[in-house]
Amino acid sequence: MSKDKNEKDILHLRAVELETSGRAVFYSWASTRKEPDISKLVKLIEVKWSEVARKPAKAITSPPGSLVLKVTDFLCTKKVYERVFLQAVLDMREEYNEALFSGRKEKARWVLIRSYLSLAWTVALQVFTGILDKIIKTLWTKPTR
Amino acid sequence: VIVKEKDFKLPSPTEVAVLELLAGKEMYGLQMVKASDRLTRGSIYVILNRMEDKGLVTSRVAETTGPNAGRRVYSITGLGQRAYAAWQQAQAAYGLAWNGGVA
Repeated sequence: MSKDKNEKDILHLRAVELETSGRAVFYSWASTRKEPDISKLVKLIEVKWSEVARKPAKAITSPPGSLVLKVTDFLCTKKVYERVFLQAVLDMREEYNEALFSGRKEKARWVLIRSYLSLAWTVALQVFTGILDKIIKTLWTKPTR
Repeated sequence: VIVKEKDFKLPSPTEVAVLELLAGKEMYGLQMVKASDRLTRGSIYVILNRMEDKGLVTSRVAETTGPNAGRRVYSITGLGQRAYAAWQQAQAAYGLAWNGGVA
């Protein structure tokens, strides 16, 4: 069936409640029709109603690595901040989001721990190479008369 | 970046790993880490920063908006290609010497 030029896909969202388990699964699909398009169906999230009712709404939190970025932005040069720490934090967020979207919370937690350890190593390495660079430049630079 | 001939040095093994990956295409740090056994998440950007200072690689900001704003992609420079070729030649010479001059 060909699509009319004026017809546009509409994003649909539907919750399918699983009565026996007390869970609901949210599906979304983009289609010109209201009926679910099985080929385009995307499972978004699975919710347990009892947990939703019990838990208070979470406050909006900053993305991981925000504090690291603020501190390094303050302490480091713009070049080092942009080339080293911003890139490392963007990598961390990318991997963290990938794990979250695939529904693997444990993996996401592990990604955060690993990324913060990597960031600590990056800081240590950056400080060490910076100091070493200054020492070498001071020792090897010929004194001007 | 202008590098005098006398300042030209062979790249370190880690730098060679980066140059090897960048030989044909642009990549960003995480892609390089995933594609290489030698590179780690903790050291990749310190290495890339040093290599950029040496003129072996160059970078540009790939995305200016969205959650990945500020993401840099890296590519090899002419000097980087020369350094990589020199390293390959040195390796070949070393291998030849190791095998007693038999190619």
